[in-house]
Amino acid sequence: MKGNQMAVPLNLWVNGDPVQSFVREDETLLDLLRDRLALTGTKHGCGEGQCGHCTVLLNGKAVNSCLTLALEAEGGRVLTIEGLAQGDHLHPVQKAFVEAGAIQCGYCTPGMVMAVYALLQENPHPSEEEIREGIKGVMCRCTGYYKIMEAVRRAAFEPEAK
Amino acid sequence: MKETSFIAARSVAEACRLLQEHPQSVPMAGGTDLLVLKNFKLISPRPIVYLKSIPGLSTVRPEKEGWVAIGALATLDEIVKHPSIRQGVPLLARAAAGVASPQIRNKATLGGNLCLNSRCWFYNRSPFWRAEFPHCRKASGGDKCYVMPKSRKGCFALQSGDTGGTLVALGAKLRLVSAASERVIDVEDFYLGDGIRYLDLKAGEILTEILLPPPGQAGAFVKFRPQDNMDFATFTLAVVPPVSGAGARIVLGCAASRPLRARGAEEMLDAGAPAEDVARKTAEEARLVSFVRGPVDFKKQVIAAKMADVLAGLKSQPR
Repeated sequence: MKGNQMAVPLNLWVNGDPVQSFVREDETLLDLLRDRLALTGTKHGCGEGQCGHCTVLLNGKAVNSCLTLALEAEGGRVLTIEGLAQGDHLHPVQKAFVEAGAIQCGYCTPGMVMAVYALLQENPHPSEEEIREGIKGVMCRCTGYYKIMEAVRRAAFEPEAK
Repeated sequence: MKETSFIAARSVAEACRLLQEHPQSVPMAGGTDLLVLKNFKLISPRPIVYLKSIPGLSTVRPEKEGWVAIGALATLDEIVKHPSIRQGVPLLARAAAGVASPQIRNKATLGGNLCLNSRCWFYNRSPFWRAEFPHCRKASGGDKCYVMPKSRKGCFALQSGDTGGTLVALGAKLRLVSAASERVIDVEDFYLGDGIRYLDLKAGEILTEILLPPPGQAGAFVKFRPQDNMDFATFTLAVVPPVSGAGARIVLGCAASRPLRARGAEEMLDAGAPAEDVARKTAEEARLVSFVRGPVDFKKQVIAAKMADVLAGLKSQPR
């Protein structure tokens, strides 16, 4: 517990499971996921909303979890990268990333996959421009984005992806 | 003593009361600007008064005489996707769509974008970076300005919300509510033109609604940034053409501490002056600061070029 901050109770759903926790009032959703719930798939990048590596879905909308206070998620539904695959069965978006070779160092991948998942949920057949806009909020310094664009196109034509 | 650093307000009245009672409190809507400033130790809100917990402040509803009221807590994503805003006020939808990334637009609100803290090359930095530039007027209440070293007072940090200039061009108004009173002001008057005291928002007052006049002509919006990536604007340009020789608006946003109306150029546009003269005049009369997001000469050249493009586009637009 940092400083003289109060710990307050928080109830939310994470990847379909009910979660009860105590959090600091200024704790971010990212800190809650990584440090308290050990869901370290969600990455901490810049901490200022630029890189998008911390992207998760809050109530069905992609958000930067580093710019979301844990208390904002009270009673909400959070979906992280850990909640996409069913056991060993990868989600079609994840599968498309593997098949297209859209991964190099892998650090941006969880955020990128969540951004693409959110995009396809809202817009199952995005145009080239809509794909670019959809992944704009996640920075990848390895792939140059071409393989990622290809993965999104693949996923968009995979019926299970939606 | 344990102190509370976060309170979720349940009503506008409660939020106003909390903001009034706690002098160091800061209201938070989407938090996409506020939490970054807090991480950089530029603000230390005690407490954060959370506004998104107030019900009913994100709806779009018709007002009398064709005006439309948008709740200040409507997210930018909601603004972009709202059918009546897309059709009736495409300028606003385009300005909202240009803000940052989908992740940010899902959280950031229209009210928050209007109230966005002013930004500066020397202010929006980590504490380590800022340690090399002490005594900045905005960051540490000192007596220096690194942007305008010869200035004796004032701060030149830039108004940075993309929707600000657009709403000035549209002639929108804002409803500001406090515990004791309520007032409606023009968006133009909301910005005071100083980087430190940049908004006409009194202690305990919050922005609850954005009021848009009846849809007129479509107009044009341009957001210029060096690369078409996720970045703040070097400037925004919002242009509403005249109706039968009157009422043109040309507004430069994000280029100074307040949105700048190019009044001379507006008059020329009303009078039907040649496009290139209007474009040149728009750039000429803009009072800009150098250094922040590029030197003045560069910005003026791009403004004139973009303005010429906009006017050419408007000419071909169906009336």
